[in-house]
Formats: sequence, C-alpha cells, structure tokens
Amino acid sequence: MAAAFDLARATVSVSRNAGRWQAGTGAACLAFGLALLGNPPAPVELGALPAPSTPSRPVVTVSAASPAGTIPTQLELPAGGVSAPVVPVATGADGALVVPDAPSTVGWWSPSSLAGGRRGTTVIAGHVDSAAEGMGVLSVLRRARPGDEVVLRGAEGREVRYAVVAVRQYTKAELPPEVFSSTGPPQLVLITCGGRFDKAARHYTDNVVVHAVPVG
Amino acid sequence: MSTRPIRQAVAGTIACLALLGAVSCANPQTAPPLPPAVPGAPAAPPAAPADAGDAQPAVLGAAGQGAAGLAALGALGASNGVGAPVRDLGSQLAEDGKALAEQMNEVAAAQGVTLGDQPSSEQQAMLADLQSRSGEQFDQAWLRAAGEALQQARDAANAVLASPDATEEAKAAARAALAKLDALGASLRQATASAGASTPAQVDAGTGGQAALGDQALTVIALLTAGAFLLGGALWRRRSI
Repeated sequence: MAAAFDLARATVSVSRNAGRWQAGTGAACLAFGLALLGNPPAPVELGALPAPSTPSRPVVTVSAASPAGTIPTQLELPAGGVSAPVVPVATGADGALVVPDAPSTVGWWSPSSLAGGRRGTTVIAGHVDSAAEGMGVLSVLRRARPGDEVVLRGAEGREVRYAVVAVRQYTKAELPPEVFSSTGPPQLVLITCGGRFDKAARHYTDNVVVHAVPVG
Repeated sequence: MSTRPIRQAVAGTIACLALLGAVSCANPQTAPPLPPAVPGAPAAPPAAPADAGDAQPAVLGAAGQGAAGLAALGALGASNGVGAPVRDLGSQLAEDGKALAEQMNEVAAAQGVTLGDQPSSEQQAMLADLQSRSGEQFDQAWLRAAGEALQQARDAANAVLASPDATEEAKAAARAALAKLDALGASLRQATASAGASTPAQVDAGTGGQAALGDQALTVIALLTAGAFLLGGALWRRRSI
C-alpha cells in the first residue's frame, strides 16, 4: 500500500517537473519570437565600396572606343531568381525619387548614366514591398552578397553584366548623394527600402543599397 | 522660365576658365594645383620650379580641352534639347566655348605650345552618353552635365580665391565670376528640378511592411507556434494531474 502511494507521488512529481520544463520552454519560445518581431535584422554592411574618382586619378577606365550605354529595360538578379521590367523614372516635385507603384517593376532614374556606359552611376530603384501587392522583386537585395551577378538588358537586346561589390544600409536621411553621381567610373546602384517599418507612416526607416561594377 | 540669367551667367563659367589660364600662365613657378575646369578635364599638376616648363603646357592643355568640351556640350544641347533652357544655354555654351578655345590656342601658340581641339576621354564619354538619349531623358542628363561643369568652375574660382599666389586682379575676377556662377546655379537648379533631374533627397520604396519580417518570418512563426503548443500542453498537463 505504502509502495503504491510512493509510486503515485513520484509519478505526480515527474509529471509536475515535465510540466514546468514544458511551460518554461514554451514561454522562452514565445518571448524570443516576440523579440524577433520587434527587432528587425541588424543593418547590412558587406564588401568594399567602389573607389570614388579623384581629380588626380583618371576616372574613365573603359576604352574610349567602347560602345556608348544603353537604356535599361530589363533587370535580372540570377541569385535571387529575379527578372523584372525596368521603366524610366525621375525625381518628383517633392524631391523624392519616383519609384514605380508595382513592386514587380523597377525604375531606372533616367538622369543617371546609361547601362554599360563609360562613366557615372546607373541608378535602379524598386519597392521592397507594397501594401496592395505584397513583396517586391527588390526584396532580395537584403540577401545580396559580393560576387552576385546582376544583368541589365537594353531595348536593342544588349546585355550588360555587373558583379555586386558591396551592400550597405543607411537611414533614409543619411542616404549619400554620391550614390547618384554622374561622374567617376561606371557602376550600378540598386536601391530599395529596409530596416524597421513604421506602421503609422507606412514607410521604412532605411534604404538598402547594392553597389555593383561592370564585368566582362 | 526666363533664360536671361542663364545667358548672363554662362559668361561667368567662361570667365572662370579664362581666369584659370590667366593665373596659370602668369605665375608658372608658383601656381597652385588647379581642379579640372570641366568634368573630366585632368587636374592641372602643381607647378614645381624644376618642371615649370612641363607643367605650363599641361595647364594650357587642360584649359584648352575644357573649352573644347564646353563647346561640344553646348552644341549638343542646342541641337538635341527639347526644352528652351537647354537649347538656350546650349547655344551660349557652344559660342563661348568656341571663342575661349580660340583664345587659349592663341595664348598657347604665343608660347610655342600646340593645343589639341578634342575633348578629353571623360568628356567624350559624357557626350557619348548624351548622344544615346533623346527627348526628356536627353534634357535631364544634359542639365546634370551642365551642373557638373558649373560646379567645377565654382571650385576653380574658389581655388583661386584661396591661393596665396593669386594676384589681387585674379581674385577680383574670381569673385566676379563666382557671383555670376551663383546666378547661373539658381537658374540651372530650377531648370533641373522642373525636368525631374535633381538629385533625389530620398527614396521611399516600401509601403507594405511584409519585408520588415523578411528573412526571419519562418523562424518567428515557428517560435510562436512552438511556444503556444508547449504552454498549452503544460496547462493541460497541470489540469489533468
């Protein structure tokens, strides 16, 4: 009788301990999950930025005999499985770059350099996501890594290949104007949003910028 | 938009280029390093006494190339521009750039130096980019190129003002040129903004918020689901004991 009582008490004790362990683990999972919800990933800083031009250094590195650039009409990011149409965009009256509404389309800032040109930066921007249409094609930029391939195609079928050299994340107020430079060696800059999302303003706090240089 | 201030201030750009040549030629032994007069024009090297004879042709060459580049940029704007500011400013740049190139050639010839009449490779790259465009996209890129030329000229004038070796006459000319360049800057900024070619102040490229969770979405969902199951199980176990 006493043995049976001891066995029952031991069983209850084991069960209570297991219950405590289960509750503790569950609470930890919930706490960690909620913490991740409230804290976006750390800002991205990968690779080395292309060297800016200086007055004492020639800024044209491509032969003057190389072809002039082409107006980009298609963007491909093979590592991210992205292929998106490119449309020309400009700066709006409010001073912000006008990004195409559809997150499946990206914009070429048309005052910037042509793709495959001999100088300056070609600027492409696109939505990371949209309230109406979900994730954007440039949401893959956060996962871009140095060495990734980027391809721009022109209307006449010309293909210009680039390799990612750096990924940076800036608060929007600190986006360097140099990313829009029309002088210096040729490079490609891809811009989208990142960081924390402000639900009230419906805007992100940061910009993710991918720098790529021509290859081949 | 009135283009008169633009026309007046183009003279400032040209005056700056001429000023660069004048300062460099007048003081070949002591001239400070000069920034390029137009985008891509190679910077004039510092003129050390030992190689002053070599530096002077280089300075003249840079100024001559700068003038040739301005003339070519102007001619392209005058012929291909669709907006009045681009056509007007282009005509003026073409005329004055050509006149300056001739002037620089005379100065160079007097010193036994022959100047080329071709823009630098950087300027040629800029012109090739412009020639591949048409319509609004041409005007946008052209206005930005003109803006670069303006900035280079301002830098040059400021370098003269900062130089202890520049004469008072040269500094007075630099101040006058800067005043005109400021007037040009205001008009050019207005034309550039109207054409949608100003450097963007910001890029707003996300309105949904889905990407904020982004790469962590699966982890977060798994953690929250596991936590809820474990807590639920613990409560059920406690009740059943």
